[in-house]
Amino acid sequence: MKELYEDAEVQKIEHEFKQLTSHPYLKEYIEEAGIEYDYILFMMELLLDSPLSADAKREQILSALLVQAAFVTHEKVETGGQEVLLGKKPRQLTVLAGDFFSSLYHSMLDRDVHAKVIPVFSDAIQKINEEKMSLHFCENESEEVLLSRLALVEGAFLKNIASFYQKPEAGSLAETFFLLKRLVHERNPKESCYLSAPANSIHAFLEGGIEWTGSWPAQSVEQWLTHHITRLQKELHQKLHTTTSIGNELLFNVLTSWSRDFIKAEIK
Amino acid sequence: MKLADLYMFLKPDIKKIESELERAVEADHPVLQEASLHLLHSGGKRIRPVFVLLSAKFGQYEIDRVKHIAAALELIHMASLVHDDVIDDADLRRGSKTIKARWDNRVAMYTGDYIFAKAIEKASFFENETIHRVISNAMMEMCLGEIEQIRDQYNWDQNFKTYLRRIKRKTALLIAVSCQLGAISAGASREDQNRLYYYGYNVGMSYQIIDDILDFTGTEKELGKPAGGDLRQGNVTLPALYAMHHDSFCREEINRIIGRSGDDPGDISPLLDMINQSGGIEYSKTLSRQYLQKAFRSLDGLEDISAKKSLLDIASYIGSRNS
Repeated sequence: MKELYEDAEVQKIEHEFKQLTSHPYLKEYIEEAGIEYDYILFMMELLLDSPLSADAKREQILSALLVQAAFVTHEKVETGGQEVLLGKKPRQLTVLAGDFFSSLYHSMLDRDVHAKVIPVFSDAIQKINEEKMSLHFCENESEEVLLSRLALVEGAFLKNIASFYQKPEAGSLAETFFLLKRLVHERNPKESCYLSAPANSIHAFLEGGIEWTGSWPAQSVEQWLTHHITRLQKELHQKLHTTTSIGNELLFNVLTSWSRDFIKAEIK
Repeated sequence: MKLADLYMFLKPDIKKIESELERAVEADHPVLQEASLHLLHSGGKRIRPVFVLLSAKFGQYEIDRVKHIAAALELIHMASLVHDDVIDDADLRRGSKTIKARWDNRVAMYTGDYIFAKAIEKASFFENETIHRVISNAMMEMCLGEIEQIRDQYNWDQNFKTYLRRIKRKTALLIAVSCQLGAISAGASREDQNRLYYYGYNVGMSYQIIDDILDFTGTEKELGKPAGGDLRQGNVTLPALYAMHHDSFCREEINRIIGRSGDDPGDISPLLDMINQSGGIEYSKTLSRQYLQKAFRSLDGLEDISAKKSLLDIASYIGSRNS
């Protein structure tokens, strides 16, 4: 898969992201922030026709990556007070690392040229936290509600930015794609730690409670995920062929790969 | 006299900020709404908004503009408290249950992140890069300060510079930028912006040093927890730092009794006596007074308006507080 992201600009952004987020003490106790490469490609697509300078575009892309890194990092903070997995110091530093990434995202946007996009970012973060709260409390009265909440948590950020840059088709693609990616992630027991709000809520919806001691995912969850992964792959495939244009070739290639059935084979 | 008596003339404007904060934390999710309101009504002094308003008086004061910055800074402070309670695994704050204790860590994380986002949205009322730069830098420094505090826990070989940098990031910076941003948002002159920044910085340093002194000298009733809490947790503050630098026996005893493990050290009253007798408390009081003097001097050159008198009175009040 990595060859899909081989591009000088992607590498430049990756390098800057690593420089920004690298902290010698944090590194000793917690995992370094991961890069969501697909975010880079989607952001490049959304900014393709923008009159912003290359530097300003890079700042917005880095900012989006930092928001994503803050979300992922804070999702690792365990629900209870006891240090089940993380341990005291890693828990403390996980909270602070997420806050650090949040402050960095804001600092990336501190030039006048980004003034109009700051409220777009903060509005999306608010929406996502509202939905995460609903997922956390497993308030999903139907499958549709659960899926739309998951789609919002995974895709609202890019969808908001897409709407700001008047690229609704790309926003809709992002929503389907990142929901698909989340379900694939949860379907893979090695990747899912079954601690995230999305994983908890899926399990609670299907099993009627969040208590789970067996191996993840449970059979019912696995079947449900497989069904929706297949459905979303088809949906992605369809959207990809009805979308008028995707200017970023790398993104087109990534989306095409994900809409094919090799993913299903891979996770099996 | 209460602190609020020192800026009575701001009462209607503080009420406006209170309403602004209530509007800002409105959320669709009932728990998010309840958690944010719980935090809002848990008895904060709103000292940062007060500094914003007083500093804005040195420019073109328009409460309907300035309130956005005042609310943004208070929201940043509130959000950092919610996350601090997760970091410290704290069940109580100002006598009431913390969000993480009332619900759980994840609710606290989402609430804090939501409020941080609201703060940035409030600040975005101003399309002014200096304002965003100052805020994002302050948030970043606050995080780095907390990371360093965790790194330096149980490190008994710290120097004074490390301590001063830590309390700057922990407390003084947000007060300094409250003053600075109040002035910027009202279009005060660059000189006045700087004067107010340094006033806030020096007041904040003095405030935190006094807080650190009170942790040693306060009674359990005054503090709401046993004295010496910082030392128990391995946090080195100025009185202990002074004692360790001037009394090698004291350093050995701290090392022996508190150690590096984080286990409950039991009765630490002999250590508290030793730190008291070392002159650490007196030294800290002197340094706190020096910062206050600098705060007073920072205001030289500002126009003599009622806001200046309030700033001077607040600094004096902070210098004389004993709880």
